[in-house]
Amino acid sequence: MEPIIKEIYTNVMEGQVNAVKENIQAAIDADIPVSVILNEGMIAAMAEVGHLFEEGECFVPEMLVAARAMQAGMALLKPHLKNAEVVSAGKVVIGTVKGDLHDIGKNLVAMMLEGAGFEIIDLGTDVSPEKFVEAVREQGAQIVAMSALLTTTMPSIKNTIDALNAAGLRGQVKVMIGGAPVTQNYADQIGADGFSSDASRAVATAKELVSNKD
Amino acid sequence: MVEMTSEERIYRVLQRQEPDRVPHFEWVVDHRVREALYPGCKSHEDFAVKMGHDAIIVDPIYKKERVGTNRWLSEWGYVTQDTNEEHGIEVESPIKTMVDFERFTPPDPHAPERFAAVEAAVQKYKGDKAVIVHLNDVFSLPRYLMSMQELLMAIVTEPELVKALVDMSVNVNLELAKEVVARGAKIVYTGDDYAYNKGPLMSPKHFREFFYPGLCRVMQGYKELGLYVIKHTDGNLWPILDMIIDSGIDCLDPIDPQAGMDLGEVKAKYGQRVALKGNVDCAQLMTFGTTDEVIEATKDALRTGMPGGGYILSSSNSIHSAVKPENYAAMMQTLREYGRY
Repeated sequence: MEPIIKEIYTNVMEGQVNAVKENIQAAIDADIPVSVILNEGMIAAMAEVGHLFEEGECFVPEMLVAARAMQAGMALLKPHLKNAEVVSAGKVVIGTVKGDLHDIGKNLVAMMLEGAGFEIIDLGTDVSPEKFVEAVREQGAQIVAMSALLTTTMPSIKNTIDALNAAGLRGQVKVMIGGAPVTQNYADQIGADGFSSDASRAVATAKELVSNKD
Repeated sequence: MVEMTSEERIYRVLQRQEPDRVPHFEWVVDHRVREALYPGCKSHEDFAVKMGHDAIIVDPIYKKERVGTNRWLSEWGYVTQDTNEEHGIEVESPIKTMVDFERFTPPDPHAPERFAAVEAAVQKYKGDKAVIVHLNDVFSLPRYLMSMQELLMAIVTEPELVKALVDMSVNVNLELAKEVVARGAKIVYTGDDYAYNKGPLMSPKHFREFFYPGLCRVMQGYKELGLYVIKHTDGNLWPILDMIIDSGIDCLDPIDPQAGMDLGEVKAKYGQRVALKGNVDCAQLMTFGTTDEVIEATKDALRTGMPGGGYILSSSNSIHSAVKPENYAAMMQTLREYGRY
């Protein structure tokens, strides 16, 4: 691995926003392929953060700080990715469902998915089924990711799946869900395609969903 | 055993002794469930009396100003948005930097109007029901003032700001507690949530550095004022539970089953040191389960929690709007049948 890429990797892991921007610029100036900067510098670092989180060695603060550095790096890299025709892992429409204002879980999932190379359209919180449908229709997403933190707002997940069905869009997206009261059992009951119990496992779920396009 | 008053019953439990029967109360009962069980029920307090709760829950009074549809600006300077549930959630927070903090003045803990409800409750229920006053400890106020996400990031990026906010929270709450004591209330509860299903929101190392010293200071401060303290936090607490118990609390709530916390395990490890409250699952069981399932779970909780005393039966968080009223009624009926010592 190029030394500068190793530095970028460390900068992301440690949440060093200024250093990550400097080093990404230096790597671009040194004509290192942007796909290498992205995959070996940034995505690999966020994958390690996710791994450490799953192992119980890294917690939400460290994840947020790494994600913030990743996002700063991505902003710098984005125009170059387009030029280099680097394709995203997939497009994800994400939001917390109608009636629910909790956002940290959803934000973490969005950050981890972005860190894994997915393109994220974040609809925020209290997102109606209609808004999810509109976003899929207009943005052509492959995945709809929904979060609910309250048992009382879980029905909005099913309502959104029904709305996607009614709009004739259900077949073209995979639906993944999560949140404190959400279970695999519930996901199976309502016909969601995937469930994950935390932001790191959400990456594996999303990757699986885009690869199993049946 | 001679029938005790609710007040006596609660004190005995908080002293980790056996009362006449297991007491019960809930922090929140959604108005729709209240109305279903007691049509025309006017308030949580009214419901608590009708349902036979052993405690009345009271909050200090803070002014709030409407700043949008379902949006309220608190005296503390953060904005909350109402949801369909009994509680709102913070959506705008005033403190982003140390400069903001240095310019910040918390609402006066000694403002006379703040404890009118506490005073009224103590006067009305003295000798009858326990009065429990809602204060805070080390996490909620920093969270509302910075937002959860910014606070958690600041643990890494702005440690001095986090420590300053925790300190302020402790100082203000100890001043509030003096007013609570002056009005004759004897129990406080704090509901600052430190954890979620998987574990604490921060590493045990960070909890120890940033929150544990303040937690000890506030809990010991409450105890020195003569108060009992019930500590509520959701989530899987195991990695930080020693610290929470060591801080000096009298009772731990709710032993969150959604996060894999087991009443029996917690009782075995800490039952000599703290009373326990909980933990009939309200996320799944009381919402989607049958009354028979709720009855079994309640019997199970009673069997596990009762021995030796020091146990309050309740849901695993609150009776929220999706809890089936008949399930809550079944839990209460099971308590009446099986909750006697």
